[in-house]
Amino acid sequence: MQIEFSDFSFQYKSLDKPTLKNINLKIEKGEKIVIIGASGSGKSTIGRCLNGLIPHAINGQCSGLLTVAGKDTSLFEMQHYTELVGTVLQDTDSQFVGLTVGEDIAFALENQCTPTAEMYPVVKSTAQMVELESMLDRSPQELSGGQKQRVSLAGILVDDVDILLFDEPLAALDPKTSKKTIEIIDQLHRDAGKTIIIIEHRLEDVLHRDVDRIILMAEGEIVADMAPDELLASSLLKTHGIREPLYLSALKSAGCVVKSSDKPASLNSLFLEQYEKNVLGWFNASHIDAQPAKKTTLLTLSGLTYSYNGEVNAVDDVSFSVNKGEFVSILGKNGSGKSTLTKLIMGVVEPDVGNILLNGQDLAKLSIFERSQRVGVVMQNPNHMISHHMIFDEVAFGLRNRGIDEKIIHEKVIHVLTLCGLKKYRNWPIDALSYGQKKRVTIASILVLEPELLILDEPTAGQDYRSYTAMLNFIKELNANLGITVVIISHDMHLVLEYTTRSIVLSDSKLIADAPMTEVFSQPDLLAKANLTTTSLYELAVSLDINNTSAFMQYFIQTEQARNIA
Amino acid sequence: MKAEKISFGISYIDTGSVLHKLNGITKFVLFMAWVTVVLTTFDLRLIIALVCLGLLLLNMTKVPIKAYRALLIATASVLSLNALFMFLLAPQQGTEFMGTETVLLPLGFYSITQETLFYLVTITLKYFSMFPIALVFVFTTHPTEFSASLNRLGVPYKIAYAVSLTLRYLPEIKKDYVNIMHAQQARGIELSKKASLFSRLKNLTNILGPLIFTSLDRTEEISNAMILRGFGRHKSRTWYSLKPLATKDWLCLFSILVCVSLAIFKRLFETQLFWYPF
Repeated sequence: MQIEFSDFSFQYKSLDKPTLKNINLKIEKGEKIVIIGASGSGKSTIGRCLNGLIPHAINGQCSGLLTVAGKDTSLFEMQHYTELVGTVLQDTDSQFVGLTVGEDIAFALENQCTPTAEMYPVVKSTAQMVELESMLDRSPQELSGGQKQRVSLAGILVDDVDILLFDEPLAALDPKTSKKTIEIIDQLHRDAGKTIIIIEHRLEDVLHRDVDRIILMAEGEIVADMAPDELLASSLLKTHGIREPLYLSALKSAGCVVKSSDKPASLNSLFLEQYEKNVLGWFNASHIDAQPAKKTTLLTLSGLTYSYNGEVNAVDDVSFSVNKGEFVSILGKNGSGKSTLTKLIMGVVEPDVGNILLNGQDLAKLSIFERSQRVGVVMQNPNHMISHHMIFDEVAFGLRNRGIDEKIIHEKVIHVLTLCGLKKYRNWPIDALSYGQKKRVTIASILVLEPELLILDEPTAGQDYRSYTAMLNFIKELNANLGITVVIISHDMHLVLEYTTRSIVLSDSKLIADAPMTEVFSQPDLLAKANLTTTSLYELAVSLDINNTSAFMQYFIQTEQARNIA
Repeated sequence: MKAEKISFGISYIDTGSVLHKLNGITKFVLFMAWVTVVLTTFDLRLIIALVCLGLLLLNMTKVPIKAYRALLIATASVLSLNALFMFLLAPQQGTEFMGTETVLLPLGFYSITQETLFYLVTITLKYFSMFPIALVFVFTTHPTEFSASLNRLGVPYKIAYAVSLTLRYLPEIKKDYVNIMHAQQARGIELSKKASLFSRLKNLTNILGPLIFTSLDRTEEISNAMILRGFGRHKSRTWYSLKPLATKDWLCLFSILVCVSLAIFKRLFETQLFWYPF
């Protein structure tokens, strides 16, 4: 037995309730395990207990027993953990300590006092394992998301450990890189025989390659410990707020009954023929509601070009427009120019060429503050936006800057906090909130200004399915009822599929597509250019020989939405 | 305030020049020796030689001049201003040192003497002579190589590492700062010259608050990541980027030693602190 938790509990020093309650879990050598659960379910805490951050860097109260490699960890020093467990953290950017790739990989060796001359061959062969040998002298910051992930992986592999722990490895990655990462992890599992533990809430992406068991956590307890097929056939995912794979949702929508014996863990293993009749029948009876046409233009970008350094264009001759009341997505890989577009619209950088019109008015004539009254931008990291101590003050800040009467401010703030489900926290300090709640505070602080256009940069980052669904449903309502136009910037395919109707795709600073979302999602080549992948919904349609994949997706979303409203 | 377009910062720039190929230790010793020599001397001949050599070395780094031109000019202006203040505070300092008095412009208490002018030029150039070599050091020494060198010269490795981590995370903090500034500007924080100095200072706290909190979060993450990879488990550590000293390094170190000895020798046997030919 490699890892065994028996009646293990843990309570953080700063909390009044235990985060882990009587955990009993066994992991054999060479197993591949996925731990899933909503935010606050305790899944990350389990990881911290395994790598020794608890109790050596984070304070709290442990009880029960945890053994790793047959040894009681209560007798461990930090270094005993590092010799057994290698951890790849969620945010790769923050774990780089070296200034070059080679140096970062060598970090663990340096700390073990390996002579400098002996490090080079080890670093080189480790870099080869993850195909980085040609980049040893580059700075990790210059690399793409996937390469960064491989650098941090190499930094762990250099230290021949048996257990590899991945803490939300896919959180910051685009779909294509996510797939590649899962493939590399799988290869390490098969070729090097490592024990793999992946903590993640994006279940469908993890299941891109086989896993042995899935541990489902909720409120500090293990609620399921079973094979993927069994778990997917059950209704446990729904009850615990984990998103089930899209193809399963589609099959269920079409009235199919999926049993664990049908191997639902992946679309490839699933025996599809038995569902064919059901699905085709469902699809043929479909009726796609005509969307009311939205013809009034709100925002027009024409010939927009901007370069940070005068050499390479970050945005190159981009033109598109957004109509009033639309829900649009902007897609593209990191560095494709998405964030620069936002900055140009906000007015914090000025275009080199081209102009931006809002309701026919040239934005260049308005100051940043004047623009912000009409275009609300919610940035990716809520910590960058929040500058007050109390939630009420934070939300009221923008209104107070306008010099509005305090009584009206009070009314408006309370109204918006109620809409965002934050009313009961209004007198709380912001530090007491979770990341997802902070994100909602930032959205509230923008919404209170009643902008005509709302731009959300990666709204799902750092949030679990349940909380972001609640938030986006709320934004969707605002879109439908108040006519607020919404633009989201994201590479979360689920989110884009479910909420947006039109997609604008950027690649290498240029606009490469501007079409209805379902059309974009039906073009694998186009998606690949933006480091995106097709969804399993599209693949399901293709497997079932459905030609009109676009209509298939549209009908699925329509039925899902009808169910959400009901 | 709009975001500026910046192409170069003051940081390590790998141009692959001869100076880049020298060992970090050699460059660090060179820098320290330079400072020592400058501190021992008030000889304008030597100081001018050092300024020229420094600028020559700076040119040899092959870093484009536009990357540091503004800084050179800024430093020169600050030092000139400094000279002006020195004159205002002690207008007869030069006369005291040289022992003679040659008045060029009689203005009573603030009479400009040839000695004082000479004194101020010497002092200003003396300070300025340290600047090009500092730039050379920063441009050509990889921060971790610098830490490794510090550690090798006896500084505890945790302190040496903190130096390189600071350099490593400066760009990240700058990025955070820009993002926070943008977010706050959009919410009506005025940082441009439109607002009064007082309100601009007050508004700056709206940026510093979130910046400090983001940085603290980051610090916690880095320290966890470092602990997980075994940082601090032993009393010492080795360095991947530590290069062995090559023949050219030993040659440089030897010449540096000779120069420093000569400078100290000169200082000890000098009869007059200031070289004054007139």
